[in-house]
Amino acid sequence: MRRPVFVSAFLLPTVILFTKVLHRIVLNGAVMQSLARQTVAVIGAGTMGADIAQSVALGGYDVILHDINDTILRRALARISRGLDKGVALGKNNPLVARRAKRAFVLTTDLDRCGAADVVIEAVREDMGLKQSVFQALDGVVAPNTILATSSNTLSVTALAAETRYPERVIGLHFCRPAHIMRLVEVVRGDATRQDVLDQAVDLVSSINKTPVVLQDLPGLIVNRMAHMYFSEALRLADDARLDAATIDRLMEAAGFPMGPFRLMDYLGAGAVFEAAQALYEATFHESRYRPHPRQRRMAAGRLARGRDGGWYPAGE
Amino acid sequence: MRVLVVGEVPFIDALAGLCRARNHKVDLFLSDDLEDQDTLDNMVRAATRCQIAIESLNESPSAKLWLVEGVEVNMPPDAPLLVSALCASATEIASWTENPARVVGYGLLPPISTTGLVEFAPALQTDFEVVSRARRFWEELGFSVVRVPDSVGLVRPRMVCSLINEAVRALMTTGASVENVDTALELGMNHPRGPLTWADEIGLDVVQGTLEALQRFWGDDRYHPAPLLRQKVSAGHLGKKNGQGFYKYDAQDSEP
Repeated sequence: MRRPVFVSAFLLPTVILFTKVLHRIVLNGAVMQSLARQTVAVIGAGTMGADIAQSVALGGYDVILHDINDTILRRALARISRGLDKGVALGKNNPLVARRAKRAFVLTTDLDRCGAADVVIEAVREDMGLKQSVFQALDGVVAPNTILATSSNTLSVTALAAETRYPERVIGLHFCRPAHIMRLVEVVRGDATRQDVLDQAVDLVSSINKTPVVLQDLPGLIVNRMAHMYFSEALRLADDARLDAATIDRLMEAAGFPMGPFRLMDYLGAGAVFEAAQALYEATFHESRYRPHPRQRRMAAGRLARGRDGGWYPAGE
Repeated sequence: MRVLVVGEVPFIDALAGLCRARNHKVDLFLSDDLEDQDTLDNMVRAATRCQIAIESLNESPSAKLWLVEGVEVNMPPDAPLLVSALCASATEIASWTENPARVVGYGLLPPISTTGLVEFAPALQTDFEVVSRARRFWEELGFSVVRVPDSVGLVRPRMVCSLINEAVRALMTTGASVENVDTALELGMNHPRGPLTWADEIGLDVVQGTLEALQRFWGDDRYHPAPLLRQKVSAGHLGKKNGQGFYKYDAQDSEP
């Protein structure tokens, strides 16, 4: 046995335990290869964490998925399982690889269990205080050469690295939503990041069939800044030209954009887009280009009030 | 119909091609060639006999003013003038002419043949009958006409030039290569083409002209052209049309 199966005592995921054992028996002949498999821990099993974990598992890695909440972990595994099945049904995933990926998971609520990982990807809520405490905790758990990655695109990698004893092994890995589908990963070099750590991160991204783009540690990186510009310019157009959302979307979609700005805001959620805009504005010390639009506050508030309904288009359209 | 098409590539080539496909008789003039007196005389003669004129020159409002004035003053009294509303609003462009009532704004971005929609923006001064004739002309060329309020850059040129400006700033600050910035947008947001490739197709001078006009029109520094964009334009690296922009292009091979 290379490694014990870490499972939270509260969780009792007998299915995983069973398949994990089965996996060892069936693939006994492939133990040598299995030993070479690296383990990636994903901290935070929300939508982003689960989607990242799915991509990493499909890439052939063992995955430790951590969250402080059992229910969220269980939901994440169900989501991943559905996602893998859907990928097979659509012909995007090899059935054998998908079956292996399903067995690659260990779920845990105990951060200490992530000490076995070669790479840790943090995907908790976008909150500097929370992320700092996660990095401090990880610092005491993992080996000095384990790579620590944050999935944030707005908070500074360098600032997070400063919370740890070995800032040279800290990087950013920003996946685009939805993370199991979009191919881009922005790889962020902190001020202290060592070149070989960056190289390993780039290899990891390539090995899970995604495309890495290496960037300096700047708020919003490329994609988030561009997304903000796409939304804020559309909101300004809607106001100054009194143009309706559907006309602007129709024009942009005819120019080849897969979703017009308003449809995309609805897809991502008005609240999430507004939060990202505020974070970018704060992180750039109120650079005027990144000022959120007053309409965003109205939309986010209105959407909250109506639950999942609302947005620029009626639900389901 | 006799159509006068005048301005800059790739806009005028694409428009002239669409006009010829509808059996219009096209007189085509590249604005840069009008420095030659004989060519200018030919353009003026073509203006006097055209039934409709299409203008597309957006490197700067001063160049546009010179061209629009020169074309419009020579056109027959009832011929509509379709002006590209990128570096000035149609209303402002109309104000430069003898007969503002015949001026109608439009907005297009390359690749024009596949865009399908034309943004259609009558000026405040435009005569009602000219509006319907202009609309019919665009529809006959094969476009779906989307009427938008007249302002600088209308919808798509304003959106796309803003995206390009932000991409140039990202190129300056993130340490990513030109290719990587394009890749980020193509794979991270599924944009139809990378913003820097698109800038090269539109023409960096046109992008800068549109941004400067937006900055002036709204009085908002969010449109301030990125310093690297200015440097490229100053160096004459205007994009695909002269072989070098963010990418380099061979004369034979038009792909980056």
